[in-house]
Amino acid sequence: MNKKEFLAAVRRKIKDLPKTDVKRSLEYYEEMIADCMEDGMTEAQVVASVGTPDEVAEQILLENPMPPKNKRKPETWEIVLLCVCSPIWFPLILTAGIVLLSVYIVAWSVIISLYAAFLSLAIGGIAGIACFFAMLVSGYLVQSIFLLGVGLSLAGLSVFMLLVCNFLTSLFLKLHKTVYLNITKQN
Amino acid sequence: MDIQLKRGLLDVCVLSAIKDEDSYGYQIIKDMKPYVDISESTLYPILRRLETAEYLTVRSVEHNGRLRKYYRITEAGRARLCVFEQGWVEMEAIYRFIMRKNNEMEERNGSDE
Repeated sequence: MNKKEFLAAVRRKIKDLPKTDVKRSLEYYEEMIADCMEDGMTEAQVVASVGTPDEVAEQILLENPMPPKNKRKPETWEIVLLCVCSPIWFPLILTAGIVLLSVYIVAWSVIISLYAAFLSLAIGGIAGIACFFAMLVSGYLVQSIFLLGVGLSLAGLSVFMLLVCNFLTSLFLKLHKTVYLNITKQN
Repeated sequence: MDIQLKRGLLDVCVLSAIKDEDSYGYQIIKDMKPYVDISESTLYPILRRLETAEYLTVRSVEHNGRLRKYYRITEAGRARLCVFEQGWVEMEAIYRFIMRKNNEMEERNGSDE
C-alpha cells in the first residue's frame, strides 16, 4: 500500500467527521509519512509502520466525537410512490382531520351545553324563590311553599351541575396537556 | 499500563518534548521513542487535545516544498508541566501506599497457607 492509497483508505473511514477534522487528520499523516521518508525509510515501510488505516481511523474517531447522524434521506422511489398515491392518502388524511376536528368541537359543545343547563337550573332556582316571596305577599300560602320547594331543589341541582361541569372541563383541559406533551416528546 | 493513566502521562511527555524548542510530529516521536512507546496514531489525538486545551499552538512552516506543522508550548502548557512536577510527590506517596497495601495482602495470603 502506498501513501496515496493509505490516505484514501483513512479518508473513507472518517468521512462522517466534520470536513476540517478530516482535512487536519490527513494533513498530519501526510506530513508524518513525508518526514519518515525524508529520514530514509521507503514509502511502503513508512505506511506499514504507521499502522493499518483501520487503527489510524479508530484513533482519530476516538478523539473527535461524531456529529449526530443526519436523518435518512428518502429514496427516489419512495418520493415517487408518495406522489403517485396522493389521490388516495390525501382525502383520507383530510377526512381523518375533519373527523378529529368535529369530535373536538362536539366535546366543547357538550361542555358548553352542560354549563347552559347549570345556568338554567340556577335561574329556575332563583325564580322559584322569588315567586315564593311574591305568592306569600299575595296570600297564596300553600302554593308559595310549593314554589319554595321547587326553587330550592333547582338551586341545589344547579350547584351539583356546576361541580360536574368544572370536573369535566378540567379533565378535558388535562387531556390537551397530555396530548401536547406526547406530541412534543416524539419530535 | 493503565490506559487512562498513560493517556495523562503522554500529554505531559509531549509537552516536555516541545518545552525547549518548537518541534514537529516526526521529531517529537523520534525524541520520545527511546523512552516511551508511542506511535504516530497515538500522537495525533494528543496533539489535538493539547491544542484544544491551549497548551500548545500550531504554525505551518514550509519545508522542501510542502508544509510542516510546528508545535509551540504556551504559558498554560508550561504551567501544566509545573503542576505535574509538583503533583509528582503526591503521586509517589500514592504509589508507596498502593505497594504497601499489596505487599501486606500478599503476606497475609502467604501466612494463611
